[in-house]
Amino acid sequence: MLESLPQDDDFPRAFEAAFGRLQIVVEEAYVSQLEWPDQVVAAIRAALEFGAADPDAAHLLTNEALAHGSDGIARYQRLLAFGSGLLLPGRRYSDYGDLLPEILEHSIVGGIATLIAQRVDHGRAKELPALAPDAVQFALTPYLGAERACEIAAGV
Amino acid sequence: MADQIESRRDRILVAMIRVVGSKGYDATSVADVIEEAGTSRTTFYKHFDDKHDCFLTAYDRLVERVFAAVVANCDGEKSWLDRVCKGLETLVEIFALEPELARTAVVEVAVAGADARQRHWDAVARFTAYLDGGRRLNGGPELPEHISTMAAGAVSGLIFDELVAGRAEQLPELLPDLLFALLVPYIGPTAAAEEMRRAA
Repeated sequence: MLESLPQDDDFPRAFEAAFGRLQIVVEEAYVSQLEWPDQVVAAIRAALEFGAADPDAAHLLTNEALAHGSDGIARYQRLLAFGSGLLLPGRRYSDYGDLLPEILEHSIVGGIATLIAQRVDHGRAKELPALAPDAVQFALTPYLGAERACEIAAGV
Repeated sequence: MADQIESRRDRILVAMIRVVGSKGYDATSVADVIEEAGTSRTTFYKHFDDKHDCFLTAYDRLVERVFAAVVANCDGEKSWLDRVCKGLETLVEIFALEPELARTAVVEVAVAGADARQRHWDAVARFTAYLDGGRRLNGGPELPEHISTMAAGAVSGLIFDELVAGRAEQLPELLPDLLFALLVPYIGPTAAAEEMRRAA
C-alpha cells in the first residue's frame, strides 16, 4: 500500500502539477483520433499508461485527493469532470442518447478512477495498461451497446 | 459481567461511527467518542490502543452489519438482476436512514490512512463478488473480469458525492440513476433504462 506522499502544504501544488501532466497526455491522445469511440479508446489507454508510468502521481490524484478533505475532494471532482467532458460527445454518437441519465459520464469516470486507485494502492500499477480493454468496454457499453463495445474492446 | 463489558465496547464502536460521520475522522478525538458513548477514558483504552485502532474495529463491524443487511434482504430474490436491484435499494435505504454511518463508510474511511483504505478495498471486493454473477447473463459472452470493480466504483462515487453534499436523506431519490450506473455494463443501455424507469 502506498502511503501519503506530499505534506499537506504541498498537496495543492503537487495535485495540480500531476493533473496538468495527465490532462496533456490524455487530451493529446484524444485529439489524435477522428471518431469518438477511437478518441475514448486512446484517452483511456493514455490514462492507464500514465498511471503505470507514474504511480505516485496516480495515487496523489485519487487516493490522496480523497484523503485531503473538502479541498482534495473538490480537486478530485475536477479530475472526474475533465474525464466526463471527453465522454459527453458520446450522447450524440449513441442510438440510446435519450435513455442515458445525466449522471452517466460522472459514474463511468468514477468507475475507471476506482480501478486505477485500487491497482495503484496495491502496488500493481504496472498492470494498468493491460486493463484497457476492460475499461474501454465499461466506458462504451452505455453509448454503443454491449455487442459493439465488446468488439471495440477486443481490438484494443 | 462479560455482557456489560461487551456492551461498553459496543457503545464505543457505535459512538466512533457516529462521531466520525458527524465531525470527520481528523477532527474526532477520543474525548469526543467517550463522551458520545457515555463511558470513561479508562474503559476506552481497556478495549482499544488508540483512536485509529477503535476506528478500524468500528469500520469492520459497520461493513459486516451493512453487508449482512444487504444479503438478508436480497438473497430471497430469484434472479441476479432482482438480487442486485434489491441489494442496492437496501444499501441506499440504510445510508439514508443513518447518514453518519454512510459518511463514515464511504467518505471518512479514505481519510483514515492506508490500513483503513485497505479495509475499504476489501469491502468493495465483497460487493463486487456479489456483482460477478452478472458477468455471464443470458448465455452471452462473459464480461471482463474488472467490470464489477468499475461498476461498484461508479455507484460508490455517486453516493460519495451525495454524502459530501450533505444529501444522504435524498439518496433514495437517486436510486434509479444508481441502478442504471450499476446495471448498464451487464445488461446494456436499453434494459438498464427499463430498470431505471421501474425504480422511478
